[in-house]
Amino acid sequence: MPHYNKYFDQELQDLKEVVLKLGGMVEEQVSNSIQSLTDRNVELARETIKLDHLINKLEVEIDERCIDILALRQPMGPDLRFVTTAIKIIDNLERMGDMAVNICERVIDIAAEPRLKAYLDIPRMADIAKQMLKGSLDAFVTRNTALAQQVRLQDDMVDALMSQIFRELLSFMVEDPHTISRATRIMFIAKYIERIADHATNIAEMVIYMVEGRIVRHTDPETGH
Amino acid sequence: MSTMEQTVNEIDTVAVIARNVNFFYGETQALFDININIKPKQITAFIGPSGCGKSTLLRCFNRMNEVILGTKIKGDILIHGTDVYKEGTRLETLRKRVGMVFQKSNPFPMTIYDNIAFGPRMRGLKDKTKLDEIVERSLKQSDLWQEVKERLNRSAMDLSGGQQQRLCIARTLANEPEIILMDEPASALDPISTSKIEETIQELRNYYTIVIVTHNLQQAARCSDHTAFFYLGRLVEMDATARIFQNPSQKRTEDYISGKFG
Repeated sequence: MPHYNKYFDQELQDLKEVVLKLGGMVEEQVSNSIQSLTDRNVELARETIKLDHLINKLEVEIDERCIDILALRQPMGPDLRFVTTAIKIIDNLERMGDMAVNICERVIDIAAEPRLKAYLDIPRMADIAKQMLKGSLDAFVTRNTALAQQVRLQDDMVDALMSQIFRELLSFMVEDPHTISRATRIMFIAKYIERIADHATNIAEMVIYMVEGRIVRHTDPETGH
Repeated sequence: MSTMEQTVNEIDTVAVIARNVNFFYGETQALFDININIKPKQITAFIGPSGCGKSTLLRCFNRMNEVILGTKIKGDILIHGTDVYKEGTRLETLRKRVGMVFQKSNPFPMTIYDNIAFGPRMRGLKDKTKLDEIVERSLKQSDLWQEVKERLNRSAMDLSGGQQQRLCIARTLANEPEIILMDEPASALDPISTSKIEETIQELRNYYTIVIVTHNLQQAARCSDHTAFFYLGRLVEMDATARIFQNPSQKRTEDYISGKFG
């Protein structure tokens, strides 16, 4: 349903599009960081790190745009929820961009040393995290709370994989202390991916707030308590 | 609980009750089955597009609509349990209990002091000390005392628009009303005077029951505890103000507060 002021409609539409644009950039950064890990591609890791400033810049730009809307339009009800949600979403997206940079840095760290092991669980975990990011952004655009709920539930799988990876790397380190330097860095990478999934969960939770006006943070996605 | 008991309970916790109120201007029905409870010593805002009936309902509370010919009301209005439309109700008594501040300030063409003392004098109060007390207290409550204490004997017409409006609030307060109705009290004022009026309203909270009609949604959001949204003569919903402006339960309310149509 349109607003009486069509320029306001346009501003809200533009805001949605630019949030999505930022989301697309972050998705790509995350994908590239994981690819640089699995392919041991230091060049790609360096390229990815270089692009992070674009995400930071766009995040600040969107932030200012949201504050302008709050100051000048004084949105109410669903519009208020949309704009405040956008502010929080871009903050989470920007942090995911930083996680991608951190992954790339660790990739560069370990590139000089021989491969510790073939990565199996980390790519699986990264796939789920990427799906969650995509799902949370789709949920935001289509105001789909069922999809947002699905993203929240996926976070458990990421956490389970995280502890599995932790146990596996621990056993490497126990058996051979020479692996500690590499194993610790891989552990960090797993943690970064887990953080990305957490940020995607945050976005999904905000989408539920945006659509229903109900704050679901800090509640269990399955039981709702 | 019997209806009777329920009514008794309501009287303790509710300042104004409108029950099945229908109101007509001649053939035109302006209010449809309004049921609303106004909480005591809190601020309630009535919002809605022009012609939605919010002012009409406000004016039912102190029978102000009766000055318009051909109006008719059905249903009950209870002010702290008293049916205001009961035969034999004295309008002077009612309007002392239910004061009103209008959109356009309307000071009497007399001194500031006499404006405030007008109501108490009408009720027969002659004691100068008591009148002085009432004038000072009322002007302090409406936040005007500091600005006018040196010139109480000057004409009220010399005050600025915002000051005149606060004078009218003071004049209402001098009658020690239980309920104060405000119909767009700040719509003709500049932002600074508006802020002062809003501050005054907030300060009166906890002492008086205030019902304010406003077209300024931000004003309703800023100064009220409860907000009622009216549309085409019907009460659509009433809830805590924060809820109405963040997440109202009715689609019509949501569309109105966010400026949507269609």
